[in-house]
Amino acid sequence: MTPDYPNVLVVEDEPNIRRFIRTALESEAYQVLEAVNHQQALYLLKQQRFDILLLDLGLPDGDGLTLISTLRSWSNLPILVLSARINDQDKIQALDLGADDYLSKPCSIGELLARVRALLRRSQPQLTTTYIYQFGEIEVDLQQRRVLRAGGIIHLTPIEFQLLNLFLLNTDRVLTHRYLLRELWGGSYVESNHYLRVYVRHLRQKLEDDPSQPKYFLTETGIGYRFQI
Amino acid sequence: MNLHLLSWFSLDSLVTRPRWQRYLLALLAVGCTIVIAIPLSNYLDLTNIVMLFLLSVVFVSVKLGRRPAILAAFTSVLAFNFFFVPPYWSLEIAHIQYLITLVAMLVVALTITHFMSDFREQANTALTREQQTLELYRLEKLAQENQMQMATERLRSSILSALSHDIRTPLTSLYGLAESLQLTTNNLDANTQATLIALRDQASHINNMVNNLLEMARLQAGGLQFRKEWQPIDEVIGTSIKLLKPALTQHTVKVDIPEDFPLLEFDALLMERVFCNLLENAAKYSPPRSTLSIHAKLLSDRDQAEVSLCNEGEGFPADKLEQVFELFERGRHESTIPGVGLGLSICRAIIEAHGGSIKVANQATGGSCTYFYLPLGHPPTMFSEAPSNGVA
Repeated sequence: MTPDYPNVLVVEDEPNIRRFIRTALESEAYQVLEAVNHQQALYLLKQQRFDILLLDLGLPDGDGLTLISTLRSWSNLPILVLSARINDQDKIQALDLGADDYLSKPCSIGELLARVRALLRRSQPQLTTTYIYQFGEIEVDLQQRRVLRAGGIIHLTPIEFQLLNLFLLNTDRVLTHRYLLRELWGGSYVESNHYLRVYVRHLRQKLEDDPSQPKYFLTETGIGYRFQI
Repeated sequence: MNLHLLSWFSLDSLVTRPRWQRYLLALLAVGCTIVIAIPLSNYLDLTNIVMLFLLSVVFVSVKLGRRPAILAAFTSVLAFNFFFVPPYWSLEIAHIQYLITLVAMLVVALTITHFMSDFREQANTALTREQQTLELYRLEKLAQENQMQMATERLRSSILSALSHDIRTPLTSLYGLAESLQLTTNNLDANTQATLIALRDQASHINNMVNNLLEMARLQAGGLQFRKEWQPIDEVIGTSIKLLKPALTQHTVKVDIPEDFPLLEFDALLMERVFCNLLENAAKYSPPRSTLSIHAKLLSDRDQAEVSLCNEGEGFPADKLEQVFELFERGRHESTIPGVGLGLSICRAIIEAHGGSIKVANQATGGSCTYFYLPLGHPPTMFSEAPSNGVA
């Protein structure tokens, strides 16, 4: 195995899905290993180092959720969850347990590869700490707490700035409503999703080109938000 | 206590009658005793005549309560004295012994009425207890039925979720395999390329239909999975446009919603389905490179929000404006545009489940609009935050 190429572990019980995921990943020169169940996956994860885990939530011999929490006790390997279930609660739980992103089946190969690339990019060790972010015509300096739009200063309230900060630090990750509410207002507001929604709307109105068709502050319906550059 | 006796004591409602009626009845009872006793007085000892009066006092005590009983006791002694003790027709208490008769009758009357009020109380308590037991039983039965219903709904929703998983898995394979074939094989001829794209698109089309069917089933299964939350409508419009991007490549979508539009209460996933279906329809029935416009406004006088989606094109057939929402109805039967009439009927089911209404109309300038109305309700209050200059 060439160490230069990222190692991907695909945990999926359906052979046809495994097959096309492998084809897609290998077309990008990733090294792919497959597991068909929980046990095999844990075995492989303990045996060797991976760069990313693609995990189907409905495993035949147990819950994908258990695998996530087990894995998170010793590793921060990026986890991309695949789910064919209609139930959002699974995805939310997976994300709250430490999964980084999710994809609903069926999904396009282009989308799958984009998500894998984004997670791999995130997990790469940073040589310098960035505190300046740029997207569209927006420039954010987290250290100076300054937001510019096409060179002009944009005024944000403290909570709006804190929310923006969370999004920037978690670029390409799905952040659940619960996580964001707890970070912004503490434990007692975890059921008040509308606060969060109103603040995200403010951020979009101030920072998006077209707030009703956002490019950066994306909604994951029923789950949370994702900031994407 | 003997139930029969109980009913004789309690079910008779004479005690609850107005007092004057009871006094009158007590006097009547004594009168009857006199009428019966006079002809018998020649054959009976005085002692037994007293017994007849005692019986009437017992009767009055049981049926009419304490005060009428006391009245009956006094009048009985007087009547006895007056009619049956010599000298007849006079009230001389010649013999002090009749005081004993009076005292005995009073004691009997008071004792019986005392016990009677106890009995009545017990009878009432028993009756109340019986009613409470019945009520409890009814409640318990109701709770059981509720539980059954909940179990049925849980079952139904788990069947739905299993079904969605089982249908999506082969669809995922189909979609992904068709795409991956393009990745692995270079220099595919145009024909094969087109076939692969068609395969992928049809898989995606089936997926969309499955989503619609599952959403319909979810709606009909009832409230369990219905997640209404207060949220801005523009958010769900944004996600719908993004979801439908592949179908909207030929169109521009213009969204016009006031910045401070109030939050509405709805299930985001279901509302997303409404917009996806409306956008998909609008894109299908309008000419390429035209604009689809979404607009929201307040109808404060009706306490409603109006959301509309308009597109250019032929519009709906004028005689079909009502029927387009019927299940499996399509605007133009002969059209070559694919799709069953599931989309609009689901839109209606979803909007109605939110207490709203939906309609379609043709525009005078050509093209058509779909309007739906949602109740404004009472959005939760937001705490306000002091604005900062951003260099906090």
